[in-house]
Amino acid sequence: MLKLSFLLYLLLISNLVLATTSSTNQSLQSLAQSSQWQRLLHYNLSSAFRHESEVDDRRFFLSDNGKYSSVDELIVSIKKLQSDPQAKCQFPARYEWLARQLNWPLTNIFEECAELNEWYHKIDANFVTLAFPASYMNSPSSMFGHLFLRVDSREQENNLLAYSINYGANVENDDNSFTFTYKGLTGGYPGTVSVLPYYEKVKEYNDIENRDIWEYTLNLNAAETRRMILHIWELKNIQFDYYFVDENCAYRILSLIEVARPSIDVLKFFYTRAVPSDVVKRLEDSGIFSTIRFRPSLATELQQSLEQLSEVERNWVLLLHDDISFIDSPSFQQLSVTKQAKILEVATYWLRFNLADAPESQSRRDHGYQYLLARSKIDLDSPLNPVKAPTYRSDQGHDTFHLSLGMLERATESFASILFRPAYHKLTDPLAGYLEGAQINFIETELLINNDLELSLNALTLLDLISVTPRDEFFSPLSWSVKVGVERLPSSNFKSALFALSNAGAGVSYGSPKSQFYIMGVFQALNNDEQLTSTAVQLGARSGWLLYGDESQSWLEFESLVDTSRAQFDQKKLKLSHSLNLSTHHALNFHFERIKLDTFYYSEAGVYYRYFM
Amino acid sequence: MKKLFVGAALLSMSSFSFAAETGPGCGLGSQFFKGQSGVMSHVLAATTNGSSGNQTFGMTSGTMGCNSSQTIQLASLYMDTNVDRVAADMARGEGESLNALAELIGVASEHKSDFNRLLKTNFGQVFNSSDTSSREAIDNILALMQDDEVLKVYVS
Repeated sequence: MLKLSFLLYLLLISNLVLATTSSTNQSLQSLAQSSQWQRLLHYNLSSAFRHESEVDDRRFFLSDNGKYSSVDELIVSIKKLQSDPQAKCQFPARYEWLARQLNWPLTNIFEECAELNEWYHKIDANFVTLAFPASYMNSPSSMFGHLFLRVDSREQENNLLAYSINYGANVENDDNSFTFTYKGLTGGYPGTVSVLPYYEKVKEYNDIENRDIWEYTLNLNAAETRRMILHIWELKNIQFDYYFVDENCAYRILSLIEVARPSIDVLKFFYTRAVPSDVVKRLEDSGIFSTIRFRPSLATELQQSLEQLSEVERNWVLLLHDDISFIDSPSFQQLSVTKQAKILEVATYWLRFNLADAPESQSRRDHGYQYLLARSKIDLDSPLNPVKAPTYRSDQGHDTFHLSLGMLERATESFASILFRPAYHKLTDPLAGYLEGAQINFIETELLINNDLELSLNALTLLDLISVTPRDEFFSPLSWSVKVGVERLPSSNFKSALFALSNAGAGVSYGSPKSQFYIMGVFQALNNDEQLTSTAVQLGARSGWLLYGDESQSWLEFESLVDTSRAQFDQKKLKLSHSLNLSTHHALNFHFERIKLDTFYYSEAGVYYRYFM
Repeated sequence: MKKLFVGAALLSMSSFSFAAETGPGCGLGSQFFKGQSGVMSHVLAATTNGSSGNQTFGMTSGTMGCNSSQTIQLASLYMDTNVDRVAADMARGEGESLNALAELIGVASEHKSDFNRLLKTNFGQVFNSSDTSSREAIDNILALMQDDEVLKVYVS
């Protein structure tokens, strides 16, 4: 009888112990799975179907298995954060969150953390603002724009003096562009978070790269702001593998914002690709923005001030640039002081604009000095009107993923066309929120279905970049294009075949951004092992007119290429594309082409419905 | 990565390792309207979106190698990067970049217009010539403020 009751007693105790352990386990599990813990440790499904931390740095984890197990990391963190003051000072955001969940002490907890305290008080965060420098055509990765954060302190009256929080790749400067592209796409560069004065980023983006910056202030409360800043401290010198397409700046900055406010929960939409404007759109939908401001680039300030000058005043700017001695001439001195002030200010903008990529010049510095000295003697506020922000922000344009459905007639055959493209924007796509004359196409795929319901690949464009910007006396940009892909062309026996194609052009454009006429010299290489014994190298020119209407975009182009090795690929192409914008994300496109390939003529006409999502 | 960080620390320290010969401004300073030859360097910077030799974490090195106050050190550092914008604002008598300099020096908002007026009127004294460096400009600004009834309180 005693043995039985003893056994029962043992059973009861062991059940109780097991129950307690499993309920502890359960609560640890749920804590480890909680959205806040997951975000603090950057656990996501983004990498290769495994749920693991995106941090690729041993120093970020307190447990050996921390990268792969949020539970292990939690268990070891709970132990070490309570026992090791150094761990507490290194991971203050984790400590504070666990303290609230597990009732640890919360007063004067960071007293012994000298470095943390010094840094935290220097940052003195009050507001956090998301900064979005818009795209800049001449640089591949910047074309998608960039995202970083600005932390405004309580004391600060001037935003230039704020700190900026930036995530970027640490690139070896002597990598060539192919290595850079390869490593950037495959995580070959380490990415780290850095903290710099905002004025340095403004100079880099506004003045040197001529990118406008959109500033979106976040409505984080004090606790959320504190959590974000403490977490940024946790990321000091910690490396993430930088992936240009998905785990890039936009993704990382969004993950920082989600540490502050996990309920936003939009990071999951960006596992495969993170385009800055898409991230901004999702954030706006979440209601996290309070005020939005526009910070114009030097180029925008120059452009808008030039528009405020009369023809005479513009000529004065050109004259002073050529011969500074005219500044003392009676004809300049006799101008009204308002006119003089305008001319001198614009001359200064133009000079500063030209500094961005020009070698050191004493003469230019002397000019600048004379402009400013003369301007300082005029007792007048600036007579130029401040810059007007564009009607549509860079995050208010069409969505970046594109699908197009259409009907195409080629020679005598009819096809249905399906086209899709993960990024980004074509010349004839709805312009709002994008740059005039700028095209960025990545991995555009077009499939055709003929009357017999046979599917064929019409084109797979890996890269199709175009930049046409008009020249005038003040701006001399190069217009250029690059295209790499695979395209179906009719071959000599009238059956079409896929050709590998590389095309590059460079030239000039004139007119206004909304109506410009361009001409470029073109080099093209075509390859198909079956059809051609060697690569066909073509040289020629393309010329066209790009017109932006209120709700339409039109593009007319004539291209003529001569095959340098044989006449087979002498090519002339006349192309007309006209798009009508139905709304921000919907457009109707009409496309006509007349092509002559060697002695063979054919026409193509199509109607497409373009949808962006 | 570690090399970059150490190099950056050294770089930031060395630019301030020259003690002031005249005036309290720190460092060598940078040239006014300096051309940026080497397009590729900033194009590459653009492609990496913010990685250059000067990556830091917002921690100022303990000493900048000069004897001036923290205020003047920060103002000198700011002026180094922004001398062009500040000079352009100064000639106009207003502007965000000029305001930032005033704030760094510690000028209270009710005296901002006095600050702007003083510097605009005496532009030729702040920048003696086109070769005036940002460091000399800071020295000259502080000297002018010293002689001004209202503003001398900020530089004593």
